[in-house]
Amino acid sequence: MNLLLAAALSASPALAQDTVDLGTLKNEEISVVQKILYPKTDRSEMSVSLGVIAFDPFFYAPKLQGTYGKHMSETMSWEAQLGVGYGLPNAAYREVTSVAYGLSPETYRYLGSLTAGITWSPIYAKMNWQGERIYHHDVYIPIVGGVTVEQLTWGEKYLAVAPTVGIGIGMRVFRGDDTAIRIEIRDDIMAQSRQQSGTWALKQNVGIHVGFSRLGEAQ
Amino acid sequence: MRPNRCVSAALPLLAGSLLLTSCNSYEMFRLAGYEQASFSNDADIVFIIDNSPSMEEEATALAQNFQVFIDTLTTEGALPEGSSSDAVDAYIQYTSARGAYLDYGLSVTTTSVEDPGGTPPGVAGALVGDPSVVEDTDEDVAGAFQRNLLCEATCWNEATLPNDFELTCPEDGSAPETPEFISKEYLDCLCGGIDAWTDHCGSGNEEPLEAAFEATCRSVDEETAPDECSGGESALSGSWPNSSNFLRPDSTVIFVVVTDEGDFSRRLSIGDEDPSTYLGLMDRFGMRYRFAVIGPNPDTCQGGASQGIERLQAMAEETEGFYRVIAEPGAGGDCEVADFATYLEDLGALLNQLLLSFPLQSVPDVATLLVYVDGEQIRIATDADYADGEDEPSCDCWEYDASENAIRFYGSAVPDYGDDVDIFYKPLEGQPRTLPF
Repeated sequence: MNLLLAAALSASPALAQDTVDLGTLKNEEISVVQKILYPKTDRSEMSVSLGVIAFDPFFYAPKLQGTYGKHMSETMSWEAQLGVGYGLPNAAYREVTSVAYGLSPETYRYLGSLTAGITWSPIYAKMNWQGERIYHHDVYIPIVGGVTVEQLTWGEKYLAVAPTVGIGIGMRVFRGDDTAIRIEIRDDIMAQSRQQSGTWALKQNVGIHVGFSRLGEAQ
Repeated sequence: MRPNRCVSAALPLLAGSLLLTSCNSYEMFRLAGYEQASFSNDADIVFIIDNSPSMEEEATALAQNFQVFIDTLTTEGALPEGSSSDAVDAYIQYTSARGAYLDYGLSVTTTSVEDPGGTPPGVAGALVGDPSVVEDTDEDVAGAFQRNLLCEATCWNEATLPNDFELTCPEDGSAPETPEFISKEYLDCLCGGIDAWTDHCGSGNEEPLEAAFEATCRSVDEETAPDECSGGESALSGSWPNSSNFLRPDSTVIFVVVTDEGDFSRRLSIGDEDPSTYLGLMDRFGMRYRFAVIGPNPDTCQGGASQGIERLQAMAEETEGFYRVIAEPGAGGDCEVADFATYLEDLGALLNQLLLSFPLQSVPDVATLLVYVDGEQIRIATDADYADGEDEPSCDCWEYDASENAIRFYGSAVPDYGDDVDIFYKPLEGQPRTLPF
C-alpha cells in the first residue's frame, strides 16, 4: 500500500505533444508586405505642376513646370523638366530699393530652366488619413542637371544662362491607376555669372511644386 | 547599397542645401532713383536782407530788379509751329528754361539776430510779412515779394526819402507798379498804410549765417532740430518759435544773403573766416542748400570792416552757390550799387541748374556708375566731349561732379519733366544703413 502511494505521489503530469520549431521570420527576409497597387515599372509619366521659387532674400517666382519621364523600375526613373516663370520683387527688395535705403542688389529674376536627371523612389507606402481613407503614395528623390535662365532685374538686364544641379524630395499620391498628385520641393543650385559686377556666384532656387501627373500604359 | 542608408544620406544633403538657400548673396549697388517731376523742382528761397541803415539803396535795387528774377524762372517754353529750325530753337529754349517747372517759395528774413530795440520784423531768423512765404502760384509774386522786402525788411531814412504826389495807388489793394524811384507815397501804397514801413531798422551787427541757421531752426519741429537751435548761443533759447515753415520736405534751400558788411555771426570769432561751424550746423538738418551771396566787395567800395567777407565767400563756394559784389566803382570812380538785374539772372540760373544735377547719397566708385533716364542708358562724358578751355562737355551725356557728389546732365540727356532717373553705383565705402534683415 505504501509503495503504491509513493508511486502515485511521485508520478509526473501527462505532457502535451512537442511543438515544431519553424524558425523566426527575420526583417531582411520581408521584401513585400503587400502587392503594390499602383505599379510604375515601364510606364511613362507626364505631369504639369505649378510652383513657386521661394526663400530668396529679394525675389520670388511663380513657376509652371512640365515634366516627362519614364520609369525603368519601381524605384528608378529618368525625367526631364521644362520650367518657365517670372521673378517678382518681394517686400524686402522694395524696402532696400526705397529712398530710405537707396540700394539695388544685383538680383536676377527667374525666367526658365531646362533640367533632366533621375528620380529614385525608395519608398512606396500607404497612408491612413484620419481613419477614413487610405492613400497609396511613393516618396522619391530627384537628382537633376541642366541650365537655368535668369535676367538682371535692372540696368542692362543681362541674361544669365547658368549651369544647374538640383536635388529634392517629392511624393506621388496615387489617385487611380494612371493619375497621381505630385508634390515636390527641389533645390536648384546654379553657378551664375553676374555681368554688372563681373563676378560669379552660387545661387539656389528652391522650388515648391504641386501638380497633376498622368502615367502611361506599361510597355 | 541598401536603400535605407541612401535615404539617410540624401535627406541630410537635401536639408543642408535648403538651409544654405538663405545664403543667396548679391553685390549691393547704391540706387539714386528720382522722378524729375518730384525731385529738385521744389526750391525754397530765403532772402537774408541786411536791414541796417546803410542798405536802403541796395534794397531798392533788389526790389526794382526783382521782376528779372521772376522772368528768368517763368520763360515760356512751348514749341511754336513753323520750320524745323524754329522747333530746334524752341527746344533749346525749352531745355534752358526748366525753371518754369520749379515749384518755389520766396521768403525774407534779416541779418539781425539780436533785437536792436523796438523788435523790428525779421529778428533771429523770423520770416517777415503776411504771407511770409510767397509761392510761385501766387497772383503777383514780384509784388508780394517787394511788399515783404520794402515794407518789412528795409531800414528807410524818412528824412531823405522823396515824395511822389502823382503816384496813384491801386484801389484793389494790389501792389503798385515799381517806380523809377522809391517814394514815401509808393511805400505807403505798397505797405497798406501811412508810415507802415517805418521803424524797421535792424541791428548793426550783421549775422547772416546765424540768421540762416535760426530761420531753419524755426522751420523744423523741436524734436528734430539740432540742440544748437535752442542752446545758449541761440537767440531762440527759451521757447520754441516753430513758426516759419518755409522748409518743405526734399526741397532745396537757397539762402540769398544781401549785405554790405561781412558776417559777424556769434558762433565764430571775429577774424575766423572758416565757415565750417555753420556748414556743420546746416548739415544737421539733412537738407540740400546753397548760399548765394551779394556781399561787400573785398577789394574796394567797402562800407565797413573787411572781416567776415572771406567767410561769406567760402560759404558760397562750399555750397556750390555764388558770390557777387554789392557795389563796384562806376564810370566816374564812385562806388555804385552793382547790377542787380544780372545777379538775379544768376540766381535764376542757379535754380535752373538744380534740375540738371542729381546728388548721390554715398561717394561712388565712378567706374560702376550707371545712369538711366526713363529706362534708357545715358553715356558718361569723355575727354573728347570737352572743347578746349571748356568746363562743360558738349554732348548728350552726364558727368560726375565730385565736389557736389552729384550726377550732372548735359544736352538732350537732361531729364524732362516727369522722366524717371535711376543712378546705380557701388559705394566706395560700405552701406550707410543696416539692412532690414
